[in-house]
Amino acid sequence: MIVQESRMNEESTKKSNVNWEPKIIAFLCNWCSYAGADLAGTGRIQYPPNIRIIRVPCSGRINPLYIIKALAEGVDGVMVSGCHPGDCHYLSGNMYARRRFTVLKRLLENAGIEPDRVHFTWVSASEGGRFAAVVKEVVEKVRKLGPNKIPE
Amino acid sequence: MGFEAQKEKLAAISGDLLSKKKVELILSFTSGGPEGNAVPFFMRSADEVAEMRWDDGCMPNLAVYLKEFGGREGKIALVAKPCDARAIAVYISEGRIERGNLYIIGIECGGMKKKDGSAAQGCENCGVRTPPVFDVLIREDGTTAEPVENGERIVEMPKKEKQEADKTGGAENPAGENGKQEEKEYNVSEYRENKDKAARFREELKKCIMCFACRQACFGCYCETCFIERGIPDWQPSNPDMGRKMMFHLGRFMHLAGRCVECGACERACPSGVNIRYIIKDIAGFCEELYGCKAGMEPAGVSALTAFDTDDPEVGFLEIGNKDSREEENSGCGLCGNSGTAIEI
Repeated sequence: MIVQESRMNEESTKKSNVNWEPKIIAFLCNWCSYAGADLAGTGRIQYPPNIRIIRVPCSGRINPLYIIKALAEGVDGVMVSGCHPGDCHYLSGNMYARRRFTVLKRLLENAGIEPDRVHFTWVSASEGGRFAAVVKEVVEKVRKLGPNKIPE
Repeated sequence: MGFEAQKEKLAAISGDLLSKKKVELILSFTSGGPEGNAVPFFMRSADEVAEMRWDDGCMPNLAVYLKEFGGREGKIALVAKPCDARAIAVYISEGRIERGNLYIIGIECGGMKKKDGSAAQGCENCGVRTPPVFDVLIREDGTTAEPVENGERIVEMPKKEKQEADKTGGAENPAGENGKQEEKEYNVSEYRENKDKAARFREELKKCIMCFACRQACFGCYCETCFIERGIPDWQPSNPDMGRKMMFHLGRFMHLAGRCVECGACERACPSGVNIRYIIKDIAGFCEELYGCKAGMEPAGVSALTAFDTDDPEVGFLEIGNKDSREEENSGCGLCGNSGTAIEI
């Protein structure tokens, strides 16, 4: 009941566009980007609170369907980050992921989903500052696009 | 066109295969479909050869029936147009079928035609005229050819493939070059254009009745339980209509990325005339251009998404600060990111 109400509230906010804040799902790999986010936290670097982080073992573990489903459910933006190519904890996970995401992005664009809703990048465990900068950039870009209207 | 000559040869080969009991079953075409098109024909005796059909209405992709037979129930033969043969090559590379239990009658095809004379779905821009894999090939003039090298080598490489091979031999990293070109093109796409794409996709999806005919007709969709019908994890978004349709179609396309042979079976099977094949068509071209992988052209090959290159281009990735910030780690502070890059904290 409460969940439903909050959902309705959320949707009315979305439609009216007043006080709307983008909601962004971030898939971060456990070994680099999650540690990078952690470093940003321990280093007390400010970044927008719009992201919800989901930790995954490796960027290669991210099923493209996760991203499609997140968008179909109405999330405003998706951000994916893993180890830099060549630094994967599992050696080649991010190499496969790179191809997968390149193709996925093209696919989403063909279906009319704005390219700026979905972002892929690499953040290492030592790049706390970069993580904050990436989040800032992503939030800004998604804010410019406005709410996700895909599921309507 | 040499359909008659090809048909004669096809009948002779089929009759020979069945009467000498070299195969138990031949998958081919016969009349009886809607709008005068051919339907699949499962031929078990040599007497039935006369009912066989070969002309420009033989559209079905017969490789899809290997989902059922898979070459496991004794030896079977199959009349393979280039797209069927490419689908078979994908099956071979994915370990789906027993190559030894399959006899492929490759047949050169100049493209199928609809009733009104226009090119059939999937045949519009098809550049592959010769099946990439066969045991015997019937050429357009009715002559036959044997495969070079163990039944897997193409007698004559299709034009595009040949160019690709030449390029790979000469240039150091052709995929990278293409990638850069593509990137330029990719970045200029404007939001407005994007809006049109969204509207087009949405219009087409409105027609979809979620009957899954496209999935059933597709050779590439062979999962025992499709992701859209799974309970755990539940892939269906809470939004029952548009979200669900989008999830199904985009999810399916993602599974077909780098594997689609552009046979057009999905579009022909659709009862509501949903035309979203342009999306996967673009992806097929994108994979070919970026990674040099064309689905089903090499039985021993890999699909675009099951391989990688350490120098793969990152088209559409977020570029922020210095791309090679790792190299400057020693000179700057990892915490604040002030390593000579233009990031403001």
